[in-house]
Amino acid sequence: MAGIYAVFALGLNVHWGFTGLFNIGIAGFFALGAYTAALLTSPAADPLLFEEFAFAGDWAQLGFLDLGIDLWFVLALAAAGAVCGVIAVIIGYVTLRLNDDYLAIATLGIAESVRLFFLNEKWVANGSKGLYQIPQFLEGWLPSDKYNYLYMVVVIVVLAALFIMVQRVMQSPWGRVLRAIREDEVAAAASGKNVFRFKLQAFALGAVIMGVGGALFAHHIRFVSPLTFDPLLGTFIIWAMLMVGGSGNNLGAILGAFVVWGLWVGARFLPGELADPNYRFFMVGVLIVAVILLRPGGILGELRRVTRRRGERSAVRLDDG
Amino acid sequence: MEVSKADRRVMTRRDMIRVASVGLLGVAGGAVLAACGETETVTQEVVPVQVVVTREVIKEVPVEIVVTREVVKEVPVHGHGPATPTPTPRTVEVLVEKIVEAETLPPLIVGQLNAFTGSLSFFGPIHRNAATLAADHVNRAGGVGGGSLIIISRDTGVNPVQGVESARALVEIENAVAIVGALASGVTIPVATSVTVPNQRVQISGASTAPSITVLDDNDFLFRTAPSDAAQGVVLGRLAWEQGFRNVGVMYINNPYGEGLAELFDATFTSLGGTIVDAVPHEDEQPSFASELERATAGGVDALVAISYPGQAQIYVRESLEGGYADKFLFVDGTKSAEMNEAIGWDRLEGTLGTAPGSVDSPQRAAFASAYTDAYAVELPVEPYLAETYDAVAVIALAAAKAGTTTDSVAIRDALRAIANPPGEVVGPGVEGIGRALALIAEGGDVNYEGASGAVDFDENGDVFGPIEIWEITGGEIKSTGRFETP
Repeated sequence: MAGIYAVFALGLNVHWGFTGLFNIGIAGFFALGAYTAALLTSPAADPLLFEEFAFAGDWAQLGFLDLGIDLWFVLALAAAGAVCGVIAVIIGYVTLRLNDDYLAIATLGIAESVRLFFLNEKWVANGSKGLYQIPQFLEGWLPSDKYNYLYMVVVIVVLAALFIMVQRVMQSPWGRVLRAIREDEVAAAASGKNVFRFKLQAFALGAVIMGVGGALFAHHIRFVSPLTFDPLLGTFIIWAMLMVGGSGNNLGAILGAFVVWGLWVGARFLPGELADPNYRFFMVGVLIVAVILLRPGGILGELRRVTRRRGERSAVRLDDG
Repeated sequence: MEVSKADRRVMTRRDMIRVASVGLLGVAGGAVLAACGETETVTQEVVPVQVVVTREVIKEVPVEIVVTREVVKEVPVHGHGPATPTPTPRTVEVLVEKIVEAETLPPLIVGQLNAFTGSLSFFGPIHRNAATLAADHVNRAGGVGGGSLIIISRDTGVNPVQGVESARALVEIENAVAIVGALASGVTIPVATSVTVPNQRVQISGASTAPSITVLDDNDFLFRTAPSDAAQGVVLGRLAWEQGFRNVGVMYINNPYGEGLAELFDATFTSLGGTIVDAVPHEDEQPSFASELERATAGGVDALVAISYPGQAQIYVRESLEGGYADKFLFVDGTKSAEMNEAIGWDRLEGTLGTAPGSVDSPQRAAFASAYTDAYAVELPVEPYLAETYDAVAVIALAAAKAGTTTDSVAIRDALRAIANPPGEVVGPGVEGIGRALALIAEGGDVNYEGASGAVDFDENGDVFGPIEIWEITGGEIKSTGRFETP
């Protein structure tokens, strides 16, 4: 699960860490990716079970492009990413002209709209009852109680691939333009860069990564319903991960995901009163405050010189404030 | 220009921190407020103390002589009042440990998936009390094969992600042999598909009523002691027809509960020949439901069926009376609320009928209610499904005794129907009932557990079919009509 969250943190890093797009609608892309993968691979709706959804690919059963291994899984991940990418271009085209604060509100609103769409439009994906016949990747390769270890390996492989991709993209000239936009849009525009187009591309790339994360999630939990995509566990905890780990650093994003999720699920093993679930919210809050005060750039800040200067500058600002 | 741009960038980063922190802390604050609300109900003065005798085998000598040591110590009676932080379930102690045989089974560890945060957080502490009470009764009756029953209660936050994570920890780290819960169907299903079924652990929910659980492909590991909404929907449809309603509108809350019930009502009522103008879903909190009412009652209706929670029904029933949309209603378990009727006005609802699963006034239920009062010094709360949770724990204990194991979940699963269904001597909840059942099982006899919630007879899908009660609003009170129906 931490690995899946790390994928989201990576996607958010592309948005916020590199391009400075204030996206607090992660849950929207999370939901889109999860529903896409779920619908493409689930068996068709059974009216006897009061199921109702217009389309179900049933790729897992059809042996769709079956080349000996379950290739459908890779295709489902790709499709989830593609759908999110396309939707992100549409959303981005409308909203990316907004400045940071307004973009934040718009993305939050879009995430809620996506959730309410899946809740109310029952013909799409069974409404509030959700989809619960999502197949597993490589089912039957290991005894079912050991399956989670296999899936962990799958998640780590996907995470590693995405990490290498984002890492390379960010070192490319394209990535440098994104950072330039983050630092100063006007200067980037003055250098002849089409700021809006770069922003749109970055928004779509981050959304694709989030969509893949959503698909990984769907095949892990094997149940998606609108209940899953609430802002707390769908968006804010991912922000906490990126802030703690260090925005602008891909390794930091992954580390943050493991630290925050470890704290979130590990809190119950603390002694006595501290195990009370209500305290977890405080603990994550305290962790964020502590990291921001002690290491304003996160545990692993951005490694570039640009950031060191940035870090000093924001540290000074924090002292002032 | 550039400088101001840079300024803004830094500001927004801080804004980001602020927004996210406020988001997290806001939720935390809510949780704390909820916790405070809970502590306000402390009415406890002195914690009574009970003298406990613990016997412990320290040495076993071949010639049937068992040397025992008596340790007398004072421990506060745990869980006195809901506010004493009910000792974390891990510390539930065997009050009197009987040495039946020199050889005893290891403890029976039952994980409970509960909601201490999220939209059902109000139910968390009382459901933990119900489960702990069952464990206490089993332990006072001698435990399972000498081993004590331990309840470990974990939070799901009414979120599938967190629920699955909690369930996984219970199974893999705490070695829970069985899972009780979760409350919401939307959590119960993912826990079953991704944790309990693959790990072959028996799971019994005491509160999930979604019809989809019946047909879930669960290899017979998922059971429930709460009746499916399928039964209530059918009874509700017949009741509407019987009342002479031919043309009705339906308002339902947009979650698996409301949707499932509305669909079953729809299917039954239309197959009898009735017409449904429209079944309109609504969201959680709205100041007015006028447009939904307009749709549900377009062209006039004989009655309006209210499948919601009191918070919403209170608003739209009043709106409907005042706006002349409908003046007759049918209620369900979700809208069985004295406070709601108080707010609307009892006399305006006189004669209204409703349905609700389970709550037959049986001696078993009375025994459970009085045991709850004894243990926690409060009346049995009116919130639903406490008895179902108690029964879920009790049947797991009896099945483990029957199977003679506290570690083999499959064997416990296989024994469930043997101890819960006929034939066999009928046994009930409480220390005596469970003690009698354990004694009978030890002798190899058949038992049929009849719980606080109903007969608890599992069918091949792991469902129970409780009778559906028909209740009535009469003379400023909610009363049972004494009619119970099964679909």
